[in-house]
Amino acid sequence: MKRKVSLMCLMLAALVPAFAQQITFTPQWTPQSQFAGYYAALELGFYREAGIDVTITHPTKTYSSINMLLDGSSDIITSELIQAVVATDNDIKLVNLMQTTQHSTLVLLARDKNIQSMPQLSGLKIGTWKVGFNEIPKMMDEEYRLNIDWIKFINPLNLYISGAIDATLAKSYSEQVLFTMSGITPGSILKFSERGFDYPEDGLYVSEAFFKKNPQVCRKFAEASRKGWEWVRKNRKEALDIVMKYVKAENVPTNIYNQKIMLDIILEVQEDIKGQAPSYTLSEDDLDKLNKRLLRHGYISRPVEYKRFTGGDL
Amino acid sequence: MKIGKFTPNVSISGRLMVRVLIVSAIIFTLSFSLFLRMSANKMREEATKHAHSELSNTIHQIDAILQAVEIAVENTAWVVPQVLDSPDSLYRITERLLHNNEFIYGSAIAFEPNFYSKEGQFFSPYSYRGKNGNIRSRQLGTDTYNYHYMDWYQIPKLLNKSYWCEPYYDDGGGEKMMTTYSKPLYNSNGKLYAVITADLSLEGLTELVGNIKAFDKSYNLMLSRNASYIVHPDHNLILNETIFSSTYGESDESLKKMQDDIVNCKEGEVLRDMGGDKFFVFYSPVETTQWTVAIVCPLSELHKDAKILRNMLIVLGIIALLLMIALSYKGIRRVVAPIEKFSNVAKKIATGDFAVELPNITSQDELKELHDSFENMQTSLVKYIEELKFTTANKERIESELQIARSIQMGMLPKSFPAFPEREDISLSAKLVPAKEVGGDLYDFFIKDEKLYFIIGDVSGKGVPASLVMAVTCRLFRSVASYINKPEEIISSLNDSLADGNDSNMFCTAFIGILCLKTGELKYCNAGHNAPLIVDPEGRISMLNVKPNLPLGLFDGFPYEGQETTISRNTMLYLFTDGVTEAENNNKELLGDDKLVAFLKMNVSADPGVLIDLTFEEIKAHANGAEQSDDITVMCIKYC
Repeated sequence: MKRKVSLMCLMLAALVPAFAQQITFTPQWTPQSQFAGYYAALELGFYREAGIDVTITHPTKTYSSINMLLDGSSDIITSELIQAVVATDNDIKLVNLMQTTQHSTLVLLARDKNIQSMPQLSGLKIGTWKVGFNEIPKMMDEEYRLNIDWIKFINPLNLYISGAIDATLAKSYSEQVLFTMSGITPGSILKFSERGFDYPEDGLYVSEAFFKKNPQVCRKFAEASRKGWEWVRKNRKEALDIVMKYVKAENVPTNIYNQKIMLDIILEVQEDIKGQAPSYTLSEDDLDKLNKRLLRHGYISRPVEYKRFTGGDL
Repeated sequence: MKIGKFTPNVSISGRLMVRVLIVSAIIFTLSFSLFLRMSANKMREEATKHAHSELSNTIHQIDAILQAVEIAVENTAWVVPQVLDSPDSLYRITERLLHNNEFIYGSAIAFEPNFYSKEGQFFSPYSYRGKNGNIRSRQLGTDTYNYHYMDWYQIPKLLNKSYWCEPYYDDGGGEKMMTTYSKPLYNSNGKLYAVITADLSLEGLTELVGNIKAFDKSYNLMLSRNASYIVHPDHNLILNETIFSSTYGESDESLKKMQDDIVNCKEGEVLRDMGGDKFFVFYSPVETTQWTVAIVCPLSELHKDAKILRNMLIVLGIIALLLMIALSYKGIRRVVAPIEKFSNVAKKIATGDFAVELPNITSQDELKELHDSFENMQTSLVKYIEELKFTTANKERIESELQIARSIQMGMLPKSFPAFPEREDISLSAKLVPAKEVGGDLYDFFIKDEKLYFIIGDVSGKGVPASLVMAVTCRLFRSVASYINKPEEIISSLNDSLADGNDSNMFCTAFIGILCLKTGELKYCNAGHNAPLIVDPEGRISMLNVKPNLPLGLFDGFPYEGQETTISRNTMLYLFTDGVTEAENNNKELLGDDKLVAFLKMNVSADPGVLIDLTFEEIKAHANGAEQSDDITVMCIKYC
């Protein structure tokens, strides 16, 4: 299969127009299956086919993809919806080109097995990502008045093992799998999606300015990315090979078992309704609900308008 | 083709050999199996001890290095507060730490954000060894290397104690796989202001672990606290996989035990199935860092010596069995050879050679007993044959004499029937079949003065004694009846003669009759005999009225009473001895009077000769092959 992929890449490369637009794309984390569709689109030549010459760069664990969009080192990024909405209201207006995942993968892993509800988290030291993703936990903290001592982390595993924190936030496709693979069984696991905090997560974003300037490129990029994800859905094993290539290039400490589980979970949360083909579209209703909650907690000053946010009025 | 059951003609020695072989093979196999199992267990115990001893030695060396790092940091940390006023002096501290401790790869004194306002968020003097070994220094923290969230900084800060961080690939710092010992530093108010670290390149430690050679085909692992490989023969797995990665989703006892042990820093060993092969994993924790060092050994390697031992034992076992067969065969042959000789002797004896020489047995065992038994048998056989010869000769002589006696006895009885062919007024027939060569039954008749004198009798007992009494009775009847014409007097005379000198107490039942052939007047006297049956001209059957009286020969002078009647012509007298009515079949059932009368009713019209033949046929049919137990005599007299 690797030979087939390489051959296809060579053939497609020959067809690339000489005037292909240069695009730097940055997913929101270091290489992993979470971004398999974009790697596949690049490796299989879907971008070049669309007339886009894509370079993929990754953020560091302490410098987010939105930062890279802000500093101009990236053109198109992936981000979680909530960070994109907050950034749109505060820093830079973003346009959602495609909504890949439709459900929350946020979980809380606690050492104490007796913790079975949010109010029991009161006063605990809980790990959260240094780079963000913490709006929902903090809203939960405020709503339940828990006064949690949030400890920012780059990787929560060793903090948890060493006993430096009582619990940690985790993504079900990422940190939770790492815990299991390290032989760690958390005392209890709380899923945010089951406790009134189920919001779509990963999406494809550009700045409004970039979108206005290059609407066709943006749409073509989104379409080629969607094609990449659809190929991944049908070719998981081959997709994993592609992911591992990127993983090795960046020296990411992971393995194919970890990436396989991550890919399975990501593809599952891409489905709006379990078992159905993904729409890759942000629901207006989801954005509306998120707007209201973020407004209530002061993360945004006014609701982000759906049409503008999805590039409809631009 | 149908194949019959094959019965091998195997000698005793052959069978003994097979049994010895089977029993020996079973004992050998069981003993070897037990021995091998015990050996395998012992070897496994030894291997476990050996593995843990190797692990222990290596862990001691690792601990020594780690403790050296800890001591170096502790001995340096106190200097830091002395030079806080001169941030650039801090570089000399980290440089000196490296200079004095060649096993330390790098060292940093990482400060809290804005500790020095002019330095901003990040200030961390850092010294490390360059490619040529020179000690170089630089400021470590940047926006893209925010050490405040690195494990080596954050965890000791949160735990408020020194900490060995998990091995990591330091991309932005030392650019090597390393681990860092961090000691938090506090000001006089107890507030943390910096963390001093010492980086230890894992090259030295991994080499130590990699060099463990516990078993020929074993390999070694070192795992961090989060179960990531620090040492693994496949370098691609280092820091990329954990020992549980490939078993994600699986759940079995050995995996759970290993997981629990590693998480809880316990030593142990488990048998794991990895890629279809079984491996023993011996593991022990490094207490300082709570890492785990493990030796992975194929099960086949642990059993290698046991396998060699097993093969040696199999070869030795086969040799021992072969030797046992050879020696047993010789021994058994030695024991069995005399038996074969005895067998040949027995064959010769069977052909009549009783004087055949016996094998010479010198031992005092079962063979000696067999020899003596054969010797006794030979003596007994010779004696027995001699006796047999004598007995046979006697028997032949007696049989010959009995045949003669039978001829004589039968010769005494009238045997030409019909008895009086020239006479129209009488038809008489009789038949006597003795149970043995000679018998005790008798009959006789003759005509004198137009009167038929007749007798039928039965002497007690059978054989020669009875036949002698029978002969005497017959002669006496002829002689007495020749001059006495009353049946009771004839009977009395016979009784007196027989009773005289009857020491053997033999007796004789008898019925004597005198039939006047002109008038049909029948005078008769019975002496304990069966009453005769009368078939009248109309075919009616009745029993002649007789007084029982005593048999002859019992009491001298017994007063016998005579009786008389008159029979019409065409009346038949049917006389018989008890051998007729007491004839038995195989079920010991007697013919009986009723059956005899029924038989006569069926044959009332038969002539005496025919009736007698039919009587004997009836008895034969009743006996149905049963041996005749008593003499049988029937006499029919038809007055015409």
